[in-house]
Amino acid sequence: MISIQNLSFFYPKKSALFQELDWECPAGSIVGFLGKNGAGKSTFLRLLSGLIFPKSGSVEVNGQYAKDRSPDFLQELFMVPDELALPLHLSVSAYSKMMSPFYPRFDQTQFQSILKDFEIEPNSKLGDFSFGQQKKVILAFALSTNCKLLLFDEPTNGLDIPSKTSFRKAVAANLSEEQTLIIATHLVKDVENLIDRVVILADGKVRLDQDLLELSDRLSFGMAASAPEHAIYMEKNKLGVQFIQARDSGENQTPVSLELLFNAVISGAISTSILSEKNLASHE
Amino acid sequence: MNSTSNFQIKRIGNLIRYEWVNRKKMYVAAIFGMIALLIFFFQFFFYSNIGSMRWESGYYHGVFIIGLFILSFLAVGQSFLDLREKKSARLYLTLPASHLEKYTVQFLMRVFLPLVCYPLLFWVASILSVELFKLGDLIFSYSSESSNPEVAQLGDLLKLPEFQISVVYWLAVGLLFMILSLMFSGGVFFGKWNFILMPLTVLFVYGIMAVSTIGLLWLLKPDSIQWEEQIKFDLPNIDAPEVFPDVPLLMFVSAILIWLVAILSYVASYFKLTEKEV
Repeated sequence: MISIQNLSFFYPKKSALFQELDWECPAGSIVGFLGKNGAGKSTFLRLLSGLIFPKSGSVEVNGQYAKDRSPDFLQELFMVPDELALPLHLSVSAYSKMMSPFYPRFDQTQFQSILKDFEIEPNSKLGDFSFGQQKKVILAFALSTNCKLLLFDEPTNGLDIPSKTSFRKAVAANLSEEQTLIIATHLVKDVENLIDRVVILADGKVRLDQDLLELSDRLSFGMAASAPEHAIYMEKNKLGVQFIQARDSGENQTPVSLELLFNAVISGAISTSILSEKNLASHE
Repeated sequence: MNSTSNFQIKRIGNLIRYEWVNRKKMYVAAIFGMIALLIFFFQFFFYSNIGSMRWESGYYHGVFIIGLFILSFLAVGQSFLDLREKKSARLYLTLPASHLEKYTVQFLMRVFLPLVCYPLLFWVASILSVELFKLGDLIFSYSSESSNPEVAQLGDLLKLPEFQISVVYWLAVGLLFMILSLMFSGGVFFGKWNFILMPLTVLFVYGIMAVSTIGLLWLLKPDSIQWEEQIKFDLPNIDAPEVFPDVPLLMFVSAILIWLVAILSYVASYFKLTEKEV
């Protein structure tokens, strides 16, 4: 569904953000796009939405070049940016009335239902809402468009703890198998139980691109008083040592700790290539 | 039309609704503001001519033309308002519509609509002004019946001045169209600074053309420019050769260039829109 070939991108007078990056993503995934501040997560989403153009290479979504910004491409894409641009003088209903005709598969009932879950009053003015409430409105709208590709940039930024739970529930309940959701965030914990695939970006490259099921099949995440002998990565804390090791075939699967995985990938202890190496496979 | 078409009336309608819902206050303020401003100026003209002359329909024409130039700065120059800020530009550029549809709606709302509405608003303002003047006269009796001003006639307003040489006519109309198209295009090129930067750019280009012409003339014929108390030009044979009877080559080429700029600036701004990155 998404195909990126040889993508290079840089901002004027700055070093390259992406160099010859290749990436493919099938339809129907919820992808967590993780990276440190300035790693290029937001830039990547803007490249996917056609707001900025690659310096070389191509970005294709459903067989259409993002750069062309064709109506067919745009009506199947909705981006929730980190910085919102909402018409604050409008009510939630008026906003939906203005925007929904652009999206052929927009579902008004679904929108009302998500708003209810988010405890948002549809007749209230957007200008009267806090940033978190405004974000909930646009997230509800995004999910109701039923676009094939949804791009959320730091979606949980500004949401309180109950709202983060509501957000995860809303995404899980309203996303169909045909839809792809890419969530760019540095708040790793917020998307831990939501995503089914993780992409970690560092130094302009995709350092890790794995299905979470595959990861929990290959790796074991745990905590102990001291690190196991074959630990691939470990982090000390007050309670002991958190570690990642290759999972033995008979061993029970453990939930993937995204934060630990992220740190391991950033430190260079784990990468897509390391995961496919024979020494890791020998532990299975 | 199928969904892959780059031009659908439905999407044009969606964009017009988007523009109206977002900016209806601006449109209403512009309409009433323009009428109020015109009434103010008309009252000024009416009252300053009491006892000396009667304000007739034909006198409105000059005010109408000056207003048209001001309109090109204040209304036409406000094209692509959504592109002025990064946040709104990102939303606008990802709205499901083609560049051609977005461009068309901007043209309709910023060029076509003001050009259609302006004569009507001008006419309405003249009616209101005359009635207001009459009301004032009824109360204060400061003029005789004969000095009551006339209402502007739409036919008079839209009548273009007659020139002896047809190429001058096309040159004058082309100039007006060029200013409109440049101000419209400036919205994409200069964003919120269009109001200042586009006129400055035009002045700069005009300055370069004028200075280079004078400079070349001075190099070729030093006697044609006299630097005394004020600069005197003796431009030799400016009206020759003639490409058609009574049509000097200079006028002819100028008219063609002006019309080319008027048309090509629309084309350039369309491609600028397609290449816009935020």
